[in-house]
Parts: sequence; structure tokens; C-alpha cells
Amino acid sequence: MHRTIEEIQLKSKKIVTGVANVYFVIISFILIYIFNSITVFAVALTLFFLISIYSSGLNYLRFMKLPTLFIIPALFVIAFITPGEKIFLVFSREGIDLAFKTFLRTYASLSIMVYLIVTTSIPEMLFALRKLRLPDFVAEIMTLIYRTIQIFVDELMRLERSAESRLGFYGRKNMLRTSALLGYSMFIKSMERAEKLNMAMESRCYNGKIPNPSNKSSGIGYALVVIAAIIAAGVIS
Amino acid sequence: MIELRDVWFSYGDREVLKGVNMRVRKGEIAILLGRNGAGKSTLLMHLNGLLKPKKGEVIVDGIRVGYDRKSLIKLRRAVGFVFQNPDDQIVAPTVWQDVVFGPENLGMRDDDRIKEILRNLGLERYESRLCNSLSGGEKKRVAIAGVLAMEPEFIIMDEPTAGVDGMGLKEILKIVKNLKESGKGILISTHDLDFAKTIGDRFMILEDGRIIYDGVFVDYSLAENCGIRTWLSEGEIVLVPHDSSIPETDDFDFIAVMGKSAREKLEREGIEPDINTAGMERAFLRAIGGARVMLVCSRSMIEVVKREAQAYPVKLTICDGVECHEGQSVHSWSRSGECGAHYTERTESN
Repeated sequence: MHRTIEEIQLKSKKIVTGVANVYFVIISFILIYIFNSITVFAVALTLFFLISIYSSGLNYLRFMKLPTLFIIPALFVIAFITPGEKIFLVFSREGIDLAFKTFLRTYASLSIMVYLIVTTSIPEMLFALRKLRLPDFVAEIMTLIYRTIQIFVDELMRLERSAESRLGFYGRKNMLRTSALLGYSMFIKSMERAEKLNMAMESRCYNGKIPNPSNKSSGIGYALVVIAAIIAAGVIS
Repeated sequence: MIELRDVWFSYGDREVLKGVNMRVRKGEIAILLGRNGAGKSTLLMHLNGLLKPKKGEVIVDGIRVGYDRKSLIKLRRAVGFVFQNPDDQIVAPTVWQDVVFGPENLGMRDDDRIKEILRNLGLERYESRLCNSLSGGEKKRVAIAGVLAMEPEFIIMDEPTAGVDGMGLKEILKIVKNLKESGKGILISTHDLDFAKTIGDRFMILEDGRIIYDGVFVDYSLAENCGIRTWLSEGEIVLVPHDSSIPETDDFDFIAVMGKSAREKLEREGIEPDINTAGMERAFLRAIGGARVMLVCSRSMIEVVKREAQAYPVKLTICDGVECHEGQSVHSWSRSGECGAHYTERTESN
């Protein structure tokens, strides 16, 4: 999954880039919660659906699939338990209204989140958070952790592939034994990696500074149009 | 100039470096050869201050290296170190962040200069790429860019060809040549003789914790004896002077002859040579192809053949049995002891 998300981020068509993209998403979230209206939710859902489809194609639907499995049953429960005048089977008018509003609000929020995921890498996100006064040392630790995760996931995939090719996961007993071995190997490797990372940083004169990514912000005009549309929907409704 | 004087180092009880002396000058490409586990990486890490010698000293531009923080920063700014595995060296998630890492920490960040380095290494438009999405060769270039961004006078590369394909190898060759042209001193460790011979100005062989050879050429026989990766060929040339006894011909795939006196010798012995014309060149070609060739030549040509053999990936043995002697004696370019204290000619009696 890790590699897939990064590949999607790399290949996605970005209409807004850099720090502006993160701010754009944060502002959109705030607007959704300020304007508690179906129109705003519908406008935000439509716009972010379109932008996300434009940016990442069907990957947007892939990301939406999993939460849908949880959201749809929850909407039925909301419609079922909300008291009021029954208009269809056991569902009340109030229940259906609330479920519909929850549906729009949830999917609008999810669409914004998925848009952020498919267009923004973790370093860009951390850079934006740093600009929003996230303490430097927290951002540095998070950057190093992210780099370490990249290396470990690659390492784990290599180990897993190697075990798989030698039938390491064939049968429950083998699977347990192999998993334990992989865990042990990963522990040893993580110790080695930590040592090497320290050496690499020392050899390049580390004194507490992790540079920011290079991305410059662009597409601010598009972001303003979307934000203006959400605000207009909120004001009209 | 970087200099190591009588450097000793051990991991616990295991002595890895046992009195290493070496020098690397600006504007030259020095190659450190040695088999796996010979201590190449350990030696290189001393030049960047990542390891401190148990005994001996490291001298950079005439100044003895100290191991306090200030001295180490000065050293690391002067001597850049490219790790063998780029994943060990890349510390930041994106290309730009990693390349800028050194200059940012040194307070000497110059974005235009870094963009130029990225352009020279073919990494323009890679700035925002995540490092784990790069190929092995690209990661290697990012690692090199990260070191070049610190503008060191000397660059140490630990096995830069490890895990690199043909295209990647050519790119690394180009980068190293450009660095040399810009006046940097370069020390490369490798156990790939072909790569070493392509770019090296000077060769050192590290064996058993010591530099056992330091010279401007290295031939395939010496390298092979020291466990260095060479052209994979079973081919061999056995050089027989005309006044020596001729070995058993059944042991050879081809018999080549060079010179009038050698031809007369074969005629006297009743041996019909397979290669009569351009004997030396065709013997080398057959040997490169994996054949065992006996090359009979006049004694005065032995030095010529030996000199020519240095350029080819073939094993050369000189079978110099004097007729009046019992049996034959074999001179070969070989080692003394485990790999050899020096590049010497050894005589063995069969």
C-alpha cells in the first residue's frame, strides 16, 4: 500500500501544488464544518470528486471503497434508530434526512481527505505543518521516521518475497515460524540501519537541520475558485 | 593531499588494518583494490573521520586530523564520503531534501549551485521525487550529488559500481572523469578490475590489513591472485622461450610460435604449430576466448609479451625450463605469502 500511495502521489495531476495545496485542503475542511448545510456538503463533494478524479483517476474510487463498507451500514442504522414519522418500512422521514445529511457530510470530508492523499506527499505535508508553527524538532523527527519507514518497508518486502519463494508461508506452522523469523531479522536490520543512518548524517555534518522540500506553490487561483464556490453555497443556503 | 600514516584499527580482537600507509593527491583517481572483507570500507571510513585509528594518523592537506567536533566538520567538508549502499547514505525522503542536507547543516546552502549539480548528474526534475521511488542507479547519483553539494576537495567512493547495471556504470565513469577534470582528488574502492583499469591513475591493493601494492599499473594475474574480480576466463598463455624445453603439447589447445629461432626450435622438436603468423596477438585472442595456449618465442621477446599481457585479461605463465636442467622451472607473475608482499616474479621448481 505504501508504495502504491507514493506512486499515485508521484503520477497524479496536481492543479494546486506545494504548501498551498495543504492549506487549500485545511480551509475546505474548516468551511465544511462552519457551514453546516446540505448544499455546502453537496458542492464540496462534487468539486472534490471532480478534482480527485482528474488528479488520480480511478484511484479515488479505490480509496473511497473501504470506508464505504463502514459508512453505508452506519447510515442505515442512523435512519433506523432516529425517531419520527415512518414513511418507508421502518425508516422515519427524520431518519432518512439525517442519514442523507450524514452521507453528504462524510463523503465530502472523505473526498477532501482522499484528494489530499493522492496529491500530497508526506514531506510536503510536514513542510506545510512546519510553516504552521509545528516545532522544528517534531517535523525533523517525523521526516526521519518517514524515511526510515520507507527503508523498512522495502526491506520487509524483500524479506517477505524471499520467504515466500521458499514456501515460508506454506501452512499455519510455517507461517508462524517465518513471521517470527522476519520479525527477528527486521529487528537486527533496524539496529544496523540506525547505526548507518547515524554515520550517514555524521558524515554530512548534521547539526539538527533537515531541509524542506523544493516544491513551490502553484495553482492558487484554482484553489480560490473552489473555496469561493463553497463559501457561496454556504452563504446562499 | 590525504595521507594515512601507519594506521591500525581493530573491531574488538580482530585486527582489520595493520599499519596502513597511503596517499591520495588532488587531481588523481586512486583505486583501492581488495577482496571482500579485506578492510577497504574500514580504511575509507578513517578518511572521513567516521572511524578513529587505534594507532597512526590521518593527515589532510598537511594537517593532522583531530577528532573533536570542529575538526571533524572541517575534515568532512574537505573529504566527502559516498557510501557503498545509497540507501545507507540517503537520509531524507525527497531528492532535493537529501542533496541539500549537507550544505544546509554546514550553513553554505546555495540553491543555484545545487541545481547545477543535479543538472550535471542528470537529476534535474527529480527534486520532488521520493528517494524510495528511484532506481538503484538514480539513488547512487543522488548519493553522489549529496556529497558534491558539500563541495569537498577529495571524494571517497566505497564500491560505487556495486549493484549498478551497464548504463549506470557508464554514468558513474562519466561522473568520476568530470570530477577529476575539476581537480578533485578521488579515491575509489572496488574489487572490479575492469572498472578500476578504465579510470584509475594509481592502484593500491589492500590485503590482510596492509597495502601490499601501490603502483600505476596492475595486471590480471596479480589481481586474480589477490581475489579481485577480473574478466572471467579460464584462458591462459604459457610462454616458452626458444632455448627451454617444450612442455607436453597435449596439455594445450593451441600452439603458437613467434620469431625465427622459436620456429626452428619447434621444427627440431617435430611440433607443428597451430598459429604461425601474428603469434602473440592471436595467442591473446585465443586465451581471452578461454583456450590454453603455448606461445613459443625467442628469449628476447619475453619482456615484450609480458608487457603486452598487462593490457589483456589473460593469465600469463612463463615456462622457462633450461634444457640442461632436470625437469623445468616455472616463473609466474604471482604472489608471495597469502597474496604477496610485492609484485614479484617467483620461481618454483617442479
